[in-house]
Amino acid sequence: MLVIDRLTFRYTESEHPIFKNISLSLRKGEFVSLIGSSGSGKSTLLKIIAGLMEGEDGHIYYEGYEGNRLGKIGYMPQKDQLLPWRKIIENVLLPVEIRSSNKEVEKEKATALLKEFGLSEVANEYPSRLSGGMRQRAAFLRTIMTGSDLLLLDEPFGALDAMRKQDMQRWLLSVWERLGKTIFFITHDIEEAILLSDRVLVLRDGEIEEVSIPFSRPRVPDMIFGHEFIEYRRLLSEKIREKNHL
Amino acid sequence: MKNLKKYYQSILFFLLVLIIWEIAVRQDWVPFFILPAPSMIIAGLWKYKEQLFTIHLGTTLYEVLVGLFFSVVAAILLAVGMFFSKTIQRIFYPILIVSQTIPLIAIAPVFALWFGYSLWTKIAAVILFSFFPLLVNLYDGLKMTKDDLMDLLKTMGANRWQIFRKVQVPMAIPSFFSGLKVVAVYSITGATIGEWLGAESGLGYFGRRMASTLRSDGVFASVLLLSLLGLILFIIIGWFEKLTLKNRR
Ligand SMILES: Nc1ncnc2c1ncn2[C@@H]1O[C@H](COP(=O)(O)OP(=O)(O)O)[C@@H](O)[C@H]1O
Ligand SMILES: [Mg+2]
Repeated sequence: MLVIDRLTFRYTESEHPIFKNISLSLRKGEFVSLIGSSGSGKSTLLKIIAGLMEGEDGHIYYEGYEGNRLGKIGYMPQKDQLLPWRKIIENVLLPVEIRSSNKEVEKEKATALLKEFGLSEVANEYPSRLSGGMRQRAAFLRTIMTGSDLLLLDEPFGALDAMRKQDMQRWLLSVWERLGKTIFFITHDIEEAILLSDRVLVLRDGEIEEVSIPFSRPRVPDMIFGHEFIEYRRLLSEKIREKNHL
Repeated sequence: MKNLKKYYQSILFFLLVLIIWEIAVRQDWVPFFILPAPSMIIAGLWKYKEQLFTIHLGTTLYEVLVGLFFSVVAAILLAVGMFFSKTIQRIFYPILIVSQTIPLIAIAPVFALWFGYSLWTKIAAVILFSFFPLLVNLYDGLKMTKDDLMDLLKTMGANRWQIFRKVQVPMAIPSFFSGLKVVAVYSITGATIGEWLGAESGLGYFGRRMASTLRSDGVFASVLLLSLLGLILFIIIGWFEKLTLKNRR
């Protein structure tokens, strides 16, 4: 679905590159997480994949093609970015308006999904009336309404407290399993990454290392206490920090 | 009710001043032709009510509204022009900055020279005082959208025009209203000055005529009306603002 081939990127000429020759690929229907310490370049990678920036070297192929990706990939930024002057339903339909597809059909789809996401009651409310978790769900739904098969989520649960986060993780997994989308998910929470993903990519010092997570699905929240799970936590936290110890 | 609680100290003080003022004039501590008592001002309002309300208020209001209309239209056109075209921006931005540093009132006599006693002297004066603050606020408002939000729209495939319409314009509205509220009062200043330069009617003209014949109650009555006009205009705009922005945080 997406292939990155030896990508190199830096913000300014003089700077140390944020990515040095990184390669990765995402397969259709996968849930892949990207972890790394803050400032390691996670958000930057997402913006590049979404098509907002170009690498100075390397290739990116989406659905086999190299070229403009704007308007083709669903991107959910770190802050929800709901527009305060639009009702939730209008916020959710923003991508539909932008690509001016059949609004009636899409509105029906959005209404059904709002219901599934537990947002029907606030469909005609403004974002300021919603809790953090609801806002995240609305922003996620807006991302789905782009109609893209690949969804890029930038730390969607970063600002939520532990309890809400667990609920949202379970909810995200159920939605993903049903909709069959490909999700590329950024987090700095190792536990979250293992719980949700088929694979975890560790970004450190401009390089990417991959760890497969073989746990079967559907996954239950209790698995985080399992012996094997803890082994993966240890492995990943070592990988994130490795260099700093030397 | 809540407002009353918040402002009651200020209102009390104001009443106190009025009472002392009234007493001071009635006791002849201050001559009434210099400073008429509040009751005399109200009486003056009544005495000149025919002229004030049927002629002068209407003229001034007309000048203000027409001037504001032109200012808003011109400010929108130029703000959008500057926003989209680097060239227009480069031409006008320095002028904008300079306009903030020169005493605009000094330019006003030029309008009398050009337009004489016609309404256009006054309308031009209103525009002179309201155009720049409107333009500055609008232009700043249009530029306020954060890159993160622009990025989001771009990933949806939005073109520049869509980003402008769906995000940058709504984002500029609060700033536009702040400008409009400031200008509500400026525009009345402009109309008054315009009328001083040359007019046959209007509250500013009336005030000056009264002053030249030392009828202080008439002067103060027109001052009171002009102040109220500014206040009412401000309140109306504030009310529209609230209505428009009520759902935003
Ligand atoms: N627009 C930008 N211009 C220059 N440097 C940037 C810009 N955005 C981010 N950076 C830098 O790039 C690095 C990676 O940032 P980011 O991708 O936001 O990291 P993360 O999301 O992993 O916390 C940081 O050191 C940050 O300071
Ligand atoms: Mg980030």
